[in-house]
Amino acid sequence: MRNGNEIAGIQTYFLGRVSPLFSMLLSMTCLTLLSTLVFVESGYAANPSAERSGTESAFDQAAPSSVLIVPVVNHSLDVDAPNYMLSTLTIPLAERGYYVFPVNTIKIVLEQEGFYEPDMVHSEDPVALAALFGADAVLYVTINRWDAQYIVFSTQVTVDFSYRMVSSAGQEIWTANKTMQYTPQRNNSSGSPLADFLASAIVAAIDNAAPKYMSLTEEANDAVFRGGYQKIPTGPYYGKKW
Amino acid sequence: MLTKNLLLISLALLMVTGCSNRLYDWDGYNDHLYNYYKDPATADRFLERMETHLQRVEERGGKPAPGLYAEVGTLYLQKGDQLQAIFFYQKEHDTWKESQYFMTALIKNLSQRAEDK
Repeated sequence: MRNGNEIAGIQTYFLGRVSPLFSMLLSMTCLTLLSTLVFVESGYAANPSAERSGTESAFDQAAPSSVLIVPVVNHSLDVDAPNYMLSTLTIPLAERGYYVFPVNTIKIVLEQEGFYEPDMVHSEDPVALAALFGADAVLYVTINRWDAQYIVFSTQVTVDFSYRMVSSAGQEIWTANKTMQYTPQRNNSSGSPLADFLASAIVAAIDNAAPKYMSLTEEANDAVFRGGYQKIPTGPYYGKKW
Repeated sequence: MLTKNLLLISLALLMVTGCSNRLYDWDGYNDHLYNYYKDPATADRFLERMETHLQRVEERGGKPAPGLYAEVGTLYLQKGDQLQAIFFYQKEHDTWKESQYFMTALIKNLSQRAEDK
């Protein structure tokens, strides 16, 4: 890693010129810094194709430039969830280097065409759907969970999504599932169960669940698009300087 | 010594911020869209913000994020302004080759509707 080496070079330069104790401290700091930086960098710079298997993947064969994100299917009880979810998908996917079709425009056009329910869109032939808009691939997202559970001591917010990308030829080229959960932490116990219970009730009340859904959703998208083994390979515009 | 330390820190910061650099300036598109879905009465503000944003990107010679012109076009269309809608769909068409098929279809459809009137 080029940047890592540059840092290491500077570190060596340092160590030759300072007292032993200080240099030890310094090298520890540098190493921490270095490892942090390498960690941060690798998250961005790692070549996704390098970590996939030797044979060319279905994704590479399809090599999409443009992705059509269709309205989100909802299996939760929250009727607003699918639109909220839809609003979070464009940026991380476009930043991965793809042309992403305008989600709201697509949603309205589909509705005008009679597709009022996302389920209808999802069950439509993907080849026909991609051809309708001239897209290279279609991204289907389903909400499996989007709820807050009021457990005795706190509120636990859970989101769970399934992602599926299909090429314009109708082949499934990428899938992922992600669950994200948030439970407010309360660290100090007073020793009195009743006092703890009351304090927790206050934590649960203050710690409103609503805004948590969006940050959890963004984390989930980020984790599947950009992180981990099954991340989406980078598209043609990735790393472009306009 | 202090300067070296500063150098290292600034280098580190540079790398970290370099990483977080985005391909595009979105100007809160996701938040506006979220607000619009939450309260459709915010449509005008959404339209205004995105249009101003796109003007600014054009002025500095940048590349607007994919789909933004088209979203502005659709917001105009929903206000009943077909000419502005066509204008922005055309911009999307000219900015992103991937959008051309779809935008051409939208523009053709709208132009026909305008003629039929």
